[in-house]
Amino acid sequence: MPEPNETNGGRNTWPIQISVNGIRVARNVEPRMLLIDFLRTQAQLSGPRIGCEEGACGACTVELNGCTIKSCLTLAVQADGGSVTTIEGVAENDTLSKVQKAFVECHAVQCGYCTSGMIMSARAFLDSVGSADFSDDDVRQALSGNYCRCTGYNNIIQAVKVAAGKETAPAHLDADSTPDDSWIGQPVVRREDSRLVRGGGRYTDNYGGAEDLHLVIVRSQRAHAKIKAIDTTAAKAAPGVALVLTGKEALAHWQPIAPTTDMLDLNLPRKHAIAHDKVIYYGEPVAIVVATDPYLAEDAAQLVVVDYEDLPVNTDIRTAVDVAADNSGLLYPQWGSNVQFESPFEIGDVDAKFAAADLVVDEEIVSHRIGAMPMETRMVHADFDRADQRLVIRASTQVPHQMRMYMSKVFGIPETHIQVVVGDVGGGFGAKLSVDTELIPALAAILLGRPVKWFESRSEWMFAGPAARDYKIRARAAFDSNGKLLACESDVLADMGCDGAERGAGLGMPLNGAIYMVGAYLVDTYRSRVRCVVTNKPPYNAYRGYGKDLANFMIERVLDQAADRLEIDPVEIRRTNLLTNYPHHLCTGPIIENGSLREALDKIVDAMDLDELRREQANALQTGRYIGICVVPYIEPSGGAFPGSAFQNYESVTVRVAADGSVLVMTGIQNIGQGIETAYAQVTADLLGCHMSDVSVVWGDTTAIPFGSGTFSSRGAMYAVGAIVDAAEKIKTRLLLGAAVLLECSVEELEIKNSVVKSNKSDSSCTLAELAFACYVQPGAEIILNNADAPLLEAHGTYRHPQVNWKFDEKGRAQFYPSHPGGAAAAMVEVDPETGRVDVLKIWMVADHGVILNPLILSGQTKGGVVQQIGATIYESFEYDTDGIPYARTMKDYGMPTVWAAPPIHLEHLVTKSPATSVGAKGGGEDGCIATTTVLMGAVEDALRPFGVKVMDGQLTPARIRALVADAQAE
Amino acid sequence: MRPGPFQYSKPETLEQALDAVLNGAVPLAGGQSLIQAMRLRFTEPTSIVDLNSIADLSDEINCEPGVVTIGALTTHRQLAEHSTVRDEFPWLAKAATELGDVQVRNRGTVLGNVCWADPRANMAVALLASDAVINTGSASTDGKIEQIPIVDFFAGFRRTVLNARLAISIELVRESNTVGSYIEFSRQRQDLALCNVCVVHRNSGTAVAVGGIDQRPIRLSQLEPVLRDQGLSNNLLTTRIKQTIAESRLDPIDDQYGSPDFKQHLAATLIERAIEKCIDGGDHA
Repeated sequence: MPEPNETNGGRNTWPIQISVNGIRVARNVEPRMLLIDFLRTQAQLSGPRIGCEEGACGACTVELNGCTIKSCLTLAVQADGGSVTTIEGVAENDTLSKVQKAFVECHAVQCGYCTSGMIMSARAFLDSVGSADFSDDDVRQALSGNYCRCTGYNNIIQAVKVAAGKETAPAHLDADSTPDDSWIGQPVVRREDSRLVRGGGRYTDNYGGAEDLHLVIVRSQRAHAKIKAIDTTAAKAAPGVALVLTGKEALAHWQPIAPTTDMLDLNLPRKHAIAHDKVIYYGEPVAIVVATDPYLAEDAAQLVVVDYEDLPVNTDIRTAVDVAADNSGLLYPQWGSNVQFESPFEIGDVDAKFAAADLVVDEEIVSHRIGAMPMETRMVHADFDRADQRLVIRASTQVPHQMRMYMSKVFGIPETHIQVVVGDVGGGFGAKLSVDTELIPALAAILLGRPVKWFESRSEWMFAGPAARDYKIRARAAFDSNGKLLACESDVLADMGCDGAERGAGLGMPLNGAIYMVGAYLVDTYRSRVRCVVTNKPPYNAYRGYGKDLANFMIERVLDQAADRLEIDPVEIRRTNLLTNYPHHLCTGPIIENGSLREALDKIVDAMDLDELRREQANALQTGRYIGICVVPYIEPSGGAFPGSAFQNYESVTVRVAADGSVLVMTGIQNIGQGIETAYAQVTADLLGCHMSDVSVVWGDTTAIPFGSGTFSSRGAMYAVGAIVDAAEKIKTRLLLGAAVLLECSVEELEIKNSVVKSNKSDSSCTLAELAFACYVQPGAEIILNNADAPLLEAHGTYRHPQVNWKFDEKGRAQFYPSHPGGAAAAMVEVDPETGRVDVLKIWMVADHGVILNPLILSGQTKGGVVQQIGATIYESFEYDTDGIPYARTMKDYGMPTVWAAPPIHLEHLVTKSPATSVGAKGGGEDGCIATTTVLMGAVEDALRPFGVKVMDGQLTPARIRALVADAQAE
Repeated sequence: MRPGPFQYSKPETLEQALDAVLNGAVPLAGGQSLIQAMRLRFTEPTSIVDLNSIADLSDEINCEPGVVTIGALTTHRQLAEHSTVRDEFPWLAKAATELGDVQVRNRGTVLGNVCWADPRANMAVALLASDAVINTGSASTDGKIEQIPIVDFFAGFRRTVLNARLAISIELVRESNTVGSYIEFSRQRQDLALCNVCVVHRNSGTAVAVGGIDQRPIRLSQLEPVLRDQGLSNNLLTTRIKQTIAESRLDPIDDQYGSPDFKQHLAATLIERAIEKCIDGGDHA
């Protein structure tokens, strides 16, 4: 029997050798080392990735001895003597394989974090089917072990079919081609994909080395308790441990978490990132352990003993809101209540309108707690140079500059001495907008003067990661007998968990919901009340949709009830009330600049062939099948800018034409998978007249990019693009002036196209590279750019949206969202009344985002959002027992949507040019997450109409649907 | 998270493996459940014995007249693709196909799934209705094979009666005129089953196994004589199934996916559907 080696540390190790992509890697490893760790740390690969710890996500998929496996559910010793192929071994001689190429051409990649594993599974499937025919379900069967959070899977299924030669790729253009007219609007394949399909990418976990220390957070095992004592003796004595620190010990070294939002009279917890006196949710950090490797750090973390004194736990918002001022159930006694923020609003004579109405609809609506769940958790690599007093942070965040600002506030280090570097981010969706837990590894690095890495485990995210939704609502509306909407009212209780403003940026979601409940409709009488209430659950952060989902289902569910009770066709009641003229001033403040809501509704009804679907539905019912349909309009306020926060109403870029004619665009917008490297290059190429392939986009490094608020609220297509326009115009003026000198002609006769400057009067021309070199070097700027406003080919551009208005009027109204894309959405579902299962048969969307920069990218984001919200509605849920302990410990428990959850999605666009941006784009990317829950609720209700059930709970799980049916049958 | 430390051995003989198990080592075959639990540190074995180099343990499915033997190292994929299994035990092939995902089926073993003894484990439920027999060995009996009928195998939530014995193969009786149906209900296809059932109908009688309503996968032994005596097409079937479940002394699983009542309702619905499927000729692989 083979025997282990003994090492001097007392850890037994085994000699193993594995052939990795044809290269023999021999090491002595501990038997507990996972194959994924071997591949990443010993074979130095970055393609196989860690997205979970239960073997569910498949980001770690590799081939072992010819079979795909999950390298995070395999010990390295089990692969001894074997042969492993990873994504890095798939391309031959640097030429992309068919499947890699198809992933690029079909836009089957967004953040790219899952892509390595997904391609390995797709490749294995294609190998196994050979030339045989296969169905979409065969592809689903093959890919069900690989989660993707961004794409909504449809494009991935298409890519597999394209790779097999069963389909041709959708129309697309490469960045090095030459379009006839403009780059804007072209389906250019993404430039970032070339590295992402090869297993490349600049994710935070790809950085660091053997000198790193690894940090593990000891987390609270109670949801609400005083910390009486923490014993760290055993942990400190454990092998490899460099630091053990409790919240109390950390107090002297930092300030409380810097709030993401601090405005009006909202209550802030003012807590430190590690609890020192009491814990307020299960999973809150109470201590940290830093050790030489992650295995040893976890071993030592288990040895930390915490003594708690239990306090009453609030998990129910209706109880939490009524907790008295002197009660120990208050999370923050200094507030005197559990209400973090309360926002009342009233306009018009609401009571009179309700009293005079022919019909009043009055519904209690519930929306459960879910979360963004990006494939990459949060992570930080922090290094502190004591001699230089400089802090360098690599992190997975949407807001690099905000992170620098908040690190500075918490540690008292000048911002000039902090560098935040963010590469690729494996999905954000709003969940990476705050800076709370990220402070902890920074503290450890400062205290130790050594690099420290924290890679949040998926179970940490499950226990303590940011959540969203979680509303209990009373929505009322008054109608006349024709279905005309007379007045509305909403009363929203929003469960912030322990906080929605300091540790997370979620508090604005319910406020948005209330503001935009009346958004798409002609109604001027409205009352709302929002109460943001804290409970003993993890923090509340932004999530795609940001309350516009709430706005949508509040009004649309009520409209469906009204249609039902007044016996009006549900589409007609929308037509009766939809706003007609633009700009439209909402009674809650915002101005809807323009749009095409009525056209979108007509178009979606046509696209669905609604009458035919109604006939199919009736026929199906004859055979005992319950099919339901729902259609609603929606609006997607975007580009939000908020006072009292770093989510500001501007963005800036720097554009530089280098001496070789290449163009660098430096932006504060962070790449989180939304394709900015491609879209911004398209815009820049059009504006400067250069080849798109000459443009590179740089983001994420606070020492290299101009200040920016970061990525949130679908703002890039307006703010970054607006800033590019500003900078590019300045540079173009200089280029033309310079070319006129160089070519000895007038500026007016020159044009720049395809990186060539030409006179339209003579044959004179030069390339952009020749012109740039002339400006920089030969003969130089004093001659070539002598007449220009500045002697360099670099300019800073800014954009400030004219439609943001922070001047609150006497009614407390303002405008935070300057832009209003919108459209219509529809769903068809089938419900099994016996089991409660909901199958989504098809989703339709007609969307208007203004001018489209890149239809591939925009459609990809919309479809991805749809499937996210299908997940959030039917499968996903954060649930807690009465002690505040979460049920879900894994992504699988939680209910991440797999490829099986993705129905066919029919998507069309309308284009109403934005009046406020010169390119005409309005922003997009969130709309799939706005109306999908609404149409699913409506469609399930429609399917179960024979039972007479109402669907007012947005959680469409089998147990809940079955209960609705059973209750209806019992009556 | 990552596994805690453990002693690891990779013996080449069954005898060595049995010794290790007797000394408390946890056997590792595919590890698709074990390593997950170790990563989450739900389970922290001090010693692991890797079965993959043992000449006497096989990944083969051995077909002899009257009996099919599934080896200790047979993967779900091997089972799902095996022609005899597909012909004669198609409900097992279906249960294996619907388990986990491609990667897990490539590596996870059928016997491991049974020994993990999750109450919703596909193979546990499907084999329970198939009257499988688990062959075990123990160093304390000098490796003599001891056969445990699968109905006696499950001791509690993810617990078996194995104790210091090692499960080394599964035996299935081949019987003509057998039909069966495996049906699982999960939120999404191939997800963790909330409830799964398997009905196997032979000349000698009908077996009904259910997972998800108790801490163990269970047989509905009170229902089986009814099906034997009154046949599968039975007017009172719905009532009898519900009644049997209601009268069973169950120890439900607490999770976020539904009340015990809901899961019992699901079980009754699925059993009825599986019986209908059997009347209709059963599963076809």
